Amino acid sequence: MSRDAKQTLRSVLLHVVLTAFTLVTLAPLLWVLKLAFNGSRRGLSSLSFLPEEPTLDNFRRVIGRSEDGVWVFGHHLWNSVVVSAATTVLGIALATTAAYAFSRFRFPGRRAGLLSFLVSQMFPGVLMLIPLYIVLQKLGLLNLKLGLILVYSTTAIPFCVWMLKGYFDTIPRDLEESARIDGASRFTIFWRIMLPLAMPAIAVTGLFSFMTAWNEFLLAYTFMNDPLAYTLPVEIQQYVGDQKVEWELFAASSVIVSLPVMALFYGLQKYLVGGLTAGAVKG
Amino acid sequence: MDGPRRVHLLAAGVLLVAMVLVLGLALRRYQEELDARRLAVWEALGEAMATAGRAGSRTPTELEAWAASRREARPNVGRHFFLAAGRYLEALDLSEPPTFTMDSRGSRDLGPGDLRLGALVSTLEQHVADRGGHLGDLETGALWWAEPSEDGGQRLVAAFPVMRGGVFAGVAGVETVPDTRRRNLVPAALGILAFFTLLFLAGLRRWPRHPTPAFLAAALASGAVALALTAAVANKDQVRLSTARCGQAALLAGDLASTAPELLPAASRAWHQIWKREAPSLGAAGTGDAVVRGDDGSLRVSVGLLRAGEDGARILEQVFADLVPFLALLGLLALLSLAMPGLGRLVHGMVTMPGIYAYVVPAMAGMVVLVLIPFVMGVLLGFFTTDLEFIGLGNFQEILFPASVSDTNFYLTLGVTVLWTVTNVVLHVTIGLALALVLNNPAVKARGLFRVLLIVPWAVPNYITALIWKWMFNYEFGAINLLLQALGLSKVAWFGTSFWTNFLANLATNTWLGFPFMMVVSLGALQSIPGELYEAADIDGATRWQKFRGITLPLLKPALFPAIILGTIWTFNMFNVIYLVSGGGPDNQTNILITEAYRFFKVLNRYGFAAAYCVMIFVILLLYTIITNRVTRATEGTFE
Repeated sequence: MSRDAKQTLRSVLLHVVLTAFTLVTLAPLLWVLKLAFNGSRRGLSSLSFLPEEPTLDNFRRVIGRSEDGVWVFGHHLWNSVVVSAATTVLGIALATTAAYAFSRFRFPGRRAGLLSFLVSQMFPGVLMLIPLYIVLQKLGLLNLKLGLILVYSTTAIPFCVWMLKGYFDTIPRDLEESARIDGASRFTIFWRIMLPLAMPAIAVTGLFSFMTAWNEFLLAYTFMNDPLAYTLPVEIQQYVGDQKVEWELFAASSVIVSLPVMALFYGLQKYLVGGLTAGAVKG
Repeated sequence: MDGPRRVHLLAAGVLLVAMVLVLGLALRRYQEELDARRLAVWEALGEAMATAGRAGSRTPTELEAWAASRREARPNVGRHFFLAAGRYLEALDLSEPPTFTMDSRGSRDLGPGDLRLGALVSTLEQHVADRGGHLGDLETGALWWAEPSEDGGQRLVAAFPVMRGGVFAGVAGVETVPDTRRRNLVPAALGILAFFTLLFLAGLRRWPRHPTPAFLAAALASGAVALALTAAVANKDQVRLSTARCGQAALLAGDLASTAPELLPAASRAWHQIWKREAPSLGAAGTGDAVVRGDDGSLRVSVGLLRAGEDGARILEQVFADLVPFLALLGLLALLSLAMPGLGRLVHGMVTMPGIYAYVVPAMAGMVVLVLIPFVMGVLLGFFTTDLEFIGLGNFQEILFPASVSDTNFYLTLGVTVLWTVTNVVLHVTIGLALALVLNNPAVKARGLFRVLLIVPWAVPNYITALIWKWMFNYEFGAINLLLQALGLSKVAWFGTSFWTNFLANLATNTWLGFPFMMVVSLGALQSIPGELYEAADIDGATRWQKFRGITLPLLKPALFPAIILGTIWTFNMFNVIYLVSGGGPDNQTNILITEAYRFFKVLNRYGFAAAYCVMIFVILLLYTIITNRVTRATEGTFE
């Protein structure tokens, strides 16, 4: 066999394996998509990815869900959007400022602060449930969106700060130096120079904050007393509850909830590689 | 003295005084609250008995009416009312409780009460063995009631008819001894104080790299004092076996077993429920009630306990909520005393360069209020029982040195958790790295498209992923079984009784979930490796493998190690997948530490024990990170 033919064969093999693996990766999602559009109530009866008796009924039932004349789905959607958007904004604001200081200044408590962020990642969530409940109660934030927003943004902070700090570290200091010589204040440097340069990392930070809030159900379920105050994940959870399991409604609602996240994810994915690894590989 | 040093000393003095004050206040407040609650429970019980006394003069018809009215009053709980051997009995009927069978070692399902129940059964076993008999599988049902004790107080008595193969085999009894005496909390307070003093000492001097013998002795001594004192407080039994009451109990249960054996399951369910929820503190709450007509014809009811039980659920929340400011302060103090040497410099720094701290303070304030304080509160909770009795290291003792009959096996669960973490991380890294290498190969067409498609699992919310896979593994409707059938294989009951099928289902889910992160990290790192290195290696005639070992792997390290550490922590605490896919089944075997902690928290309502479990998780992860960090130097340079 000639060298060329050997290489072609290898290339073909590589592509076949890669395609097969990709298909396996996507299969679960394709089946869920099929289930969401399926007319029959019996779940899957074949492995094909095409829905049997295609229909939008499941989506209609999920979106149109209302009780006592109140549009339940609408409430939950609104809650999710408000909480996620606010968490993103607050998370970015807190994380960028902190990361900037940690990257650029040397001050007492810096090492301890950075370490505490790392250590807080190891706190088991179950441990925090009761105490968080009580703290929110004491602050009068229980059953309020603001409570969820504050909790979610602080949950996202450690990861975001570490990532952003890594990114800031890679930005050369010369720019700031020359700006300082030109008389720029510390805030001007942060706002006009650092933020625009760190846009990819900030986009990723925002994505993580958003995903934290958009995907969380345990806290939302625990801290909200009023069922109308729940967010979408809590609603999805209920389709596969203990009493009744409605896989086709679960599938439809999953598609609805996952779409915005996936859209954002793909909008920002070109930043993902750079944003995630810039800090780590600099050395 | 320089500025930071002066600030430090001043703060240290103020902290020490504040610590003592807050501790005293907190303990006093806690003591009063606990006493008030206890009193309320026993008062309710007394009231109930008075009602029972009045009921004693009623006719059976009146009793029926009374029973009906009680049924109406609490319609949400189904109940069995029955008359047996002249005694009027009422038992909880839960819609579909597990049947209460246990072998002689006690069953895992029993809940916290099984320790004592186990002791009971072994006593009984001994008793039967002494007479040359043998106890096989046991079924127990039970009744309980309240009655005046010799010292003028009240106590609860419970009796178990023990069934063997459906035949009445004997009776065992338990008597609760109400502990209304003011519990002396001074030892506990001293224990806490010793602990904080230790922290304080450690912080003040920093932990010496080569500790002097004097320091070591002081540290060990205060640690030992704290341990001994807390242990002394911890070992106060509230329930004790009573042989004296067994005769009476036998009479009753024997009657029931012989006259109405069909009612025993109901009674046993009620008892099961009581043990499960209230066993650690029978004096505080209860959910079943029994009305018993004694030999003198008077009726006694334990309905008061039922009322107290309804209160019981709220006790924790209220007492704990009242204690929040103190607990939070204590936590902060502990933290501050740990950071003593830094504290002076920190305060000094904040005063001299406020402009810098302005950037950090908002994020830090949020972290302190919503992450740090809850964490410290949670850790403190680990030293208490569910109704906030301070038991020192009792919970940790139960975790690390479990009695022969226990609800949980920490070491087994830890083993499963390690297996789970290792298999997952290995799969994530292997698959992620392999895909990254393939996607980095210029010979592959449409690399962008493949990359976009392969990170899809990352973009799907992970609880949705978990539920999707639960559905995929569903016996009837699941795609996996359909696939197996299409391949001519037989269906597999993934969530059946086998550990491995359940574990595999979890593993498949989490592998799917986790490899894209490693792939993206590896890809980023691969792209930053200069191509000249490979060209140079080609010139030297290096093989593919040599290039991988010599160039790729070493250069991937700085990016991969932090990702692996982070991935390990995430997997170790991957609650969603275990909880939503296998649910810990079968019989909690696939539970990892975090889901086991949640089981204690949510299912068994043992908050303190769950918190102690979580503290163990935290300590394990912390040690892991410190050790791997030492070995791999993964975070080296990030502090510069």
